[in-house]
Amino acid sequence: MNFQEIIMNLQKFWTKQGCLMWQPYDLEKGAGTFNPATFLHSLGTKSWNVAYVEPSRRPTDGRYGANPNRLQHYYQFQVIMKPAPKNIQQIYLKSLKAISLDPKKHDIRFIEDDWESPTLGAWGLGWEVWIDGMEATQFTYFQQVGGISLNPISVEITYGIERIAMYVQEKNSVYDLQWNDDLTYGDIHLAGEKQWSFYNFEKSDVAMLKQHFADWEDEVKKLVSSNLPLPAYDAVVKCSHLFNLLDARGAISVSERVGYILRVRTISKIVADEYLKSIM
Amino acid sequence: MMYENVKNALLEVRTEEIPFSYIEPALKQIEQIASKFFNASRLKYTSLKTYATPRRLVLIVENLSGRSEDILEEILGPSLKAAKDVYGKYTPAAIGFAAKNGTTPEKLTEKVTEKGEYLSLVKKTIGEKTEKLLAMIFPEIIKNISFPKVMHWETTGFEFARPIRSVIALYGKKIVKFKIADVNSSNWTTGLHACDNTKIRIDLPENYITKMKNKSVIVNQNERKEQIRKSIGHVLKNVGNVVLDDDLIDEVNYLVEYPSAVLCAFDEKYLDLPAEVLTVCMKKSQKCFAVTDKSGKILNCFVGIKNGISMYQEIVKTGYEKVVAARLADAEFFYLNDLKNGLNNNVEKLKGVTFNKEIGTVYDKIERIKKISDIFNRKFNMQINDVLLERAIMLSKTDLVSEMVFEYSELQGIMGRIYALKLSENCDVAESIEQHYWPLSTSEKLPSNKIATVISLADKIDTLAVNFSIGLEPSSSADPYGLKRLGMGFIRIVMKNLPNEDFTDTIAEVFEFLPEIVKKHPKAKNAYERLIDFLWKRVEGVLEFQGYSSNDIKSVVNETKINELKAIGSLQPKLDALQKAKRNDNFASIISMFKRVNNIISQAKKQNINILQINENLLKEETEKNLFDVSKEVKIAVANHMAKNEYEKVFGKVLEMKLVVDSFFEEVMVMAEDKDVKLNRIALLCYVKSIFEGFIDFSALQQ
Repeated sequence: MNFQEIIMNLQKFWTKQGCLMWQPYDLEKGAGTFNPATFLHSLGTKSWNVAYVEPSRRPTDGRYGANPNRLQHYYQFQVIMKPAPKNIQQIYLKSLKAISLDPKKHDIRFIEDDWESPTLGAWGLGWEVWIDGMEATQFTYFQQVGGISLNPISVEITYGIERIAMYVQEKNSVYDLQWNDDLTYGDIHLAGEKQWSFYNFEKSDVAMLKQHFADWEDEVKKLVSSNLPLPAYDAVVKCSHLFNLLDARGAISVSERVGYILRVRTISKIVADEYLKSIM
Repeated sequence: MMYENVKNALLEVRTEEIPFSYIEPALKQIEQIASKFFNASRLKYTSLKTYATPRRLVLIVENLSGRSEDILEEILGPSLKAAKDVYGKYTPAAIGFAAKNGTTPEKLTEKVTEKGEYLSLVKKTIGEKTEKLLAMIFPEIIKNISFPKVMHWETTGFEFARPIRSVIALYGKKIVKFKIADVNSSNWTTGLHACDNTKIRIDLPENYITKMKNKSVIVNQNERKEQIRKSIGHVLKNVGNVVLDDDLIDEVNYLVEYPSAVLCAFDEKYLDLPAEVLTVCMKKSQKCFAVTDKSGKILNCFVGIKNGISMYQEIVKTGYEKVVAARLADAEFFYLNDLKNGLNNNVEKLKGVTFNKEIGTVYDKIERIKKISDIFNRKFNMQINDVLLERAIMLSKTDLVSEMVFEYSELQGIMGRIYALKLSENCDVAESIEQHYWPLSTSEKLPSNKIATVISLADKIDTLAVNFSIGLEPSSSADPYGLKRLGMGFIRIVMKNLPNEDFTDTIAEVFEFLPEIVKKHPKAKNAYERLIDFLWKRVEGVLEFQGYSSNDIKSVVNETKINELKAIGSLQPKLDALQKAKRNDNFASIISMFKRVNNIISQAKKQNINILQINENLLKEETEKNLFDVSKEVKIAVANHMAKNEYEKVFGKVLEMKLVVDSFFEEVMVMAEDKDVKLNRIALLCYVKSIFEGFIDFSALQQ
């Protein structure tokens, strides 16, 4: 099963479960959780079921294309169901069958792993799902987002699709994955990994990034006071990514780091409050 | 006792996977809460049993009676005098009492008590049906379990470690009906995750365990643990021995519902890695067990425990091997990098590692350890080679910045030792990198060579001094920085290696070495005194751990403390002598003798009586003259014995004193009419008391 078939099979499976097939959000972000389809939509009482692929960027994880497992840009397959169905674990196990991992034939474990995003003021309890020892999925019941306690509770299921594909295709390097039958993951992304690692670690303009961070931080506050939580949230996501870039560049000292995290948390909280007001 | 209509009861709370460390404490609570509620409801049973898997918390109550017990209770009303008027008619007081208890005065009885005659009523509370009580007790049990972290998952706002998905509640074959966290109690559950979601019905509590086992769920945790051992033994037959790790077995036991072992292998080339590294990789990455041959040499295979019966083991094996291979490849990469890098380069890097965010770096700490060790070495004549000592101190923390320890922090110290040996450092130097962290707990080993011993002392006392100066000392209940463990370690090492040294000045000097920012910290005041106090408490802790009673410990510590931290080494021999002396039949009377002496002295002090020197001319009676003479001799003898640590002989002298003090008390009135005589006698008793100062505080002992 090639990489794109894995994605398509997951999409088909979750569509059948009643999920809306959302699309990747057009901003750089560290994880699918930053997509407004997760962050904003997990707030409020309306039911919400959605799935999407999210390109995710973690500048510090770049390895110039030299490490077979580590990437600064990769994909997550994200599912959000609100409220969390009672049989969600069973549904998840069934989804594995759809990507040729029959739970009867594999050792599937739910290993305690509590999730917290300090910048998003969000946390939840759940597990890392191991398939024959491989960490395949993060499974979390959100408890708080933007500092707001949730009710009803959303469940977030995040598949690490490269890892799963490596397992299914029996490949030892992510770059050897068949994306389709002709092209490999390396064909598509290797050059990017090299160049972006170079950019993230060595070339990014620190002064510019810091300025952009401050500008977008101001923008959040302006937009919130104009009652525009959706554009304001984009500005939060931008700040978060700018922080990640600065971090990768080694431009933030240990004590500054705490300050930056607090700043992002503060603006994500005011946006969450404003968004909640707007949908009430 | 016989109960009527007894039946067994079953409660199974089926959840999503609960973190393994939560489970044992939850089972203990279930048992406590259940027995509390059963007792309060007057329900009798023969036993409570608790079981758990990662997805089930189970309570089985055996031979639970069908009803709660009736109670008869006698209630006294008004006295007969108040209950009836002069015509013998019931007064409003009597009518009121009867009405309150739902009856009329005519139906009450009259009861004669010590205080007179009263109206009385025997009230019978009839027991209730067990089913009805269980419908209240079962939900209470579930609600009252507390976990380190809880969550919400449905809209009633119920809190639990992980979502509850079904609840079996049976009394005999009947379902005990209630609803909790949006789940109705029932008589069904489900089996292993992998086996779809078909309902398993439980007809009777006593059939539950067997029925679940037939569905490949071993509910009894002890049986499951045994199964893990058996299964490992089975796959390792003719292969080797498993590296038994009880913590890992306990953890794995609560990660699976039906364990089956899978024997896996890894590339032989990884056997070049140290055994410690291989073991940690397998344990941490996969919760797998390392395997050795008969001589204890590690083999290139490992055992994983799969959840579910032995099927498709080949597929699972491939998966396990792949993940372990990736981890070992990483570990090899770290290992070779670390060796290539060497340890010398890491010393400089320690300047970038914070020891405490306000205080400074690990490098600064090493500089201090150097100074402190130097003092120990010289002052206590430890005769450690200066060059080796300095080398060991310099390398002591270098593995903290190695790639291996960054990945596997539990290898701190161990990697340092391994790298140092590989890089041809002196053997004692290498060992001290690992051992300066010792003892790792109250019961674990102390450093084995002198270099490690002195670095361990210096490192610990420095950490304590820093933390006490910046107000991070532990409270009686909380010790987030593990300082009590460090303190106990320090004291154990001192007791073993330097029992007769005076540490007080040295510790004062340790404070001098601290950076200015620490010395000027607002909490730095009295830090030295607080630390000495804290260390004395650890002394008591260590002795208690060795099995001495806290009163005995106090009696020796109280008298030794005068000399500050000197002579910690005398405590244990004194305590041993005390244990022997206590077997003497006269011992209780010795304590009461000292009590009497103490009372008289403290009475005198209370009355501000000035206790003067003894005036020999005022000693009138033969017995008091004798007491004084004997005391003088004994005092010299005791001082001699104390100097030679001959504590049993000191107790011999105590007995000797007892005879003369006893006859003194028999024949002489201390509180004589002549004031001077009285004062002189009190002074004499003070003298007697002074003989045993610095030995044992008899007033701390229990009679």
